[in-house]
Amino acid sequence: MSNEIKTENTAESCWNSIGVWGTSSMRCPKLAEMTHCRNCPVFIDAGSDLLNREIPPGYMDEWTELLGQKKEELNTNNISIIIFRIGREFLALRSAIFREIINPRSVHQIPHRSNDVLLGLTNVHGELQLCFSLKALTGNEDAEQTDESEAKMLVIQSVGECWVFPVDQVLGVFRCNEGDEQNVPVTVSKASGTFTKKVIIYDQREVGLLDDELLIYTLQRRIS
Amino acid sequence: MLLVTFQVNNQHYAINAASVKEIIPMVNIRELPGVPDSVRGVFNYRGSLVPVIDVTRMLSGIPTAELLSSRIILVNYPEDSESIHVLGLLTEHATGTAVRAEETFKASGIDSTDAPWMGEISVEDKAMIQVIKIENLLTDELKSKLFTGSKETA
Repeated sequence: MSNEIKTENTAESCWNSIGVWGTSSMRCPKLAEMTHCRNCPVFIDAGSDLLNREIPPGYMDEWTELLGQKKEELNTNNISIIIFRIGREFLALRSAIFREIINPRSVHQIPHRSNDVLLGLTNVHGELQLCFSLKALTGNEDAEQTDESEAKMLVIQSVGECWVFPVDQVLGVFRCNEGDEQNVPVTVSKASGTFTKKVIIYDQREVGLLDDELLIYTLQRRIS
Repeated sequence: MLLVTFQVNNQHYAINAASVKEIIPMVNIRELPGVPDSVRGVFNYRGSLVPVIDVTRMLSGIPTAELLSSRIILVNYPEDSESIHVLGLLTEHATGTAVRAEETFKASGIDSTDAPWMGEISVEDKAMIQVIKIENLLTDELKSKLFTGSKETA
């Protein structure tokens, strides 16, 4: 084809000489119309001509093997969660509600209001936020104190308000598929004070995914 | 209409993109003895055997060259109203797509009873693209040969 001849000879790299990547003062007359070389048929043809070469050795074997395998189904129904630890128990919350995770800082008790669940107020970026004990809320109080060097505070943003929860460790952000979830045993989910919505098996551990809406709702009731 | 284009003998042809399932590079195709020349063979596509028609050979008599730009266009081939098969079409220069409006298509005006797959030609910007009607690509004889037993639907 005439295009191919043009690409091979005259226009071999016109984009490098008179095109957008060119350094000479001469400019391709078509450039004004095309705006950029990548819109120009000469450049496009040169690009597709690169494919008109022999198949490199091993290429066909590789693709034959690849296409012979069953396609892995991508599960799009996955959600992002952040797994953390309180005592010995691993819990998780949806990543979407997190504002940040901060290093532990002092919590100021509120006279006559602080109790086992409402720990007090803490300073997050100069603003005082309410700090709650997930340990007490989830009925995990008897858990023994563990190494505090990895302790963090979760800052949750929900319904326009901020909620701070100290935890013993944050494992990080994970993705969990719908299929990885298991329903909580009926005996557990019905028990009062349980916020666990689903149980996720992660790294051979059972992680309780907390129902954040229920959690925040309960907290709102507590402080009002 | 979005078309997947390819070339045979420097002539532009196209397949309606709506029937294209996937476009894959050339793979090792197992040849089948005793089938017409236009059937290149079969290959393992995700665990099932898919027949490959050498479109270049069908249209020009020359087998498809083994180049990086030669690709297998996998189409959903309607054998009849009930079953749809995956069929591989081996083509050269299968590197692009084109959008052509319905009104640019014109009948070729030449009797093509020997080649019922020949569709209308789209004339635009000097380049003519002829659409291949994949539903007419295989003769009844070839159809019965290719899809015996494999009654799976895509």
